[in-house]
Amino acid sequence: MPNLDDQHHDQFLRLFAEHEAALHTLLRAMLPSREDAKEALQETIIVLWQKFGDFDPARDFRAWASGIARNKALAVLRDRKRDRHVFDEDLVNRLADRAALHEQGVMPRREALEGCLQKMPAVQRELVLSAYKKGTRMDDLAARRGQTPMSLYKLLHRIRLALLDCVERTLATEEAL
Amino acid sequence: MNTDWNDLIQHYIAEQTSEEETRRLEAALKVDDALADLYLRHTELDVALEAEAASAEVMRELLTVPMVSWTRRGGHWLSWRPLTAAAAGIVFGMFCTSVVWAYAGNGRSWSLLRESFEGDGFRWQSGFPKQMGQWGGDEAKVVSIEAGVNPKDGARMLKLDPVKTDLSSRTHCIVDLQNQQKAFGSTTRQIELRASFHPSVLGKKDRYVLRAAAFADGPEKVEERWMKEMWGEIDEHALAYAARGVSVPAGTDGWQTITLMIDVPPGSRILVISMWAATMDGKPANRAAHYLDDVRLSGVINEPLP
Repeated sequence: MPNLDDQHHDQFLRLFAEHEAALHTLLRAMLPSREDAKEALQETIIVLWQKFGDFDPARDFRAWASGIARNKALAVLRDRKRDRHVFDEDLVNRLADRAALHEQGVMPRREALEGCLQKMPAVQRELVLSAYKKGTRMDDLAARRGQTPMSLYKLLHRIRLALLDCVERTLATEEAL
Repeated sequence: MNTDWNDLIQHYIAEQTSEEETRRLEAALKVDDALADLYLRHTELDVALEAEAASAEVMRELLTVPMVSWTRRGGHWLSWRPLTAAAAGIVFGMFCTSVVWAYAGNGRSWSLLRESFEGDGFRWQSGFPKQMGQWGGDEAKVVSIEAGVNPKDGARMLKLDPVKTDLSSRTHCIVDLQNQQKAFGSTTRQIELRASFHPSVLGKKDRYVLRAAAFADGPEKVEERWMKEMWGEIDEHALAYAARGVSVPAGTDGWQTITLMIDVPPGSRILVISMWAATMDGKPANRAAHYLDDVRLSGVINEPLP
């Protein structure tokens, strides 16, 4: 670990906090599971921190950090290349390129999502947040609700589609104003 | 775009596609930019919902900080008592007067600490304090009147800046109990912590937490995480601890004074007090600074009523 002074440490935290959502989104687009994306994000943080002493503040932090995150994701994919669930590297690179085009919209879409979650019925909001809560197993959640896992998945799919639709409509309305 | 692709993408990101389905989606994503964008919206939503769920969980934890006090006696945890509303509750806009010795309820009290951040000698340092009498924690600074907020006591107050990586901003102080042995004697003593908070911005729900823990060891042995994490390891290390969390509805104006009682057993060398302030909003950019003022710590000597 480099011996960075407090000012550097604060600067790193500030920059990372600002770009964490975009980096996590990029990794999730490239990797097949939430767990893979989270693990790659953790490893990316370590490399960013180790190399931050050499980072030129005049450079674009997001571009620098995205490059490191992409390399991490590709390394994970190479480890999992025999997995039937993994996209090939050409497609993953193509998705990462397209994700970069949409990076600026990540935070506005998150803000819109917060509003959409607040607007949806509390029962649905609680359900979708429970499904995404750390450590939740879908079969346990389904059993608690007296549902089959398949019917729970279908319900969650419908809620996610409704949220996507709401986010798009919110952003379209804001643009029109 | 038809719903079939939405379903296939959702199945893929939930790792539920067969190999044939994965290859079909892969082939389509390679040639269809609109489909690739739809896929990215789904993966982005997946990350955002995960973050929303984590944020909701942190808020739920913070909202349920139990109103409890634990005291260890003879090496065992014997005493647990939910604090009464009167002992641990919030008093809105309470006016306090200076006390060195005063009667409180049916007992006398003596002042262990009174800090309103006035003197030039006051020193605050970034990071968890490691010395007796030291104040420290997340970013904070002493200010005078600011954002239309007057200090509660005197001309200055401590501004707790929002923390980008955490919901709460925390400040701590280590209080020397060794020089209080005479007042303590060989019995367990009640100590009252009182602090006042004010948000810099109205319109958001706020949450304030007081924590106190007594230790037999010196300040150098106390780890920040014991005071920072909800309950974690503290019961393995402290002789006594107590916590109190209070929610303040959005738009509530004025200083909010919160009190906390802790039973401190003999053998306690230090008392670590922590004050947390949080704007209950999952988005870091929306979290505001909070002001802290008029922090008091008083020992209470309970006497039987005549």
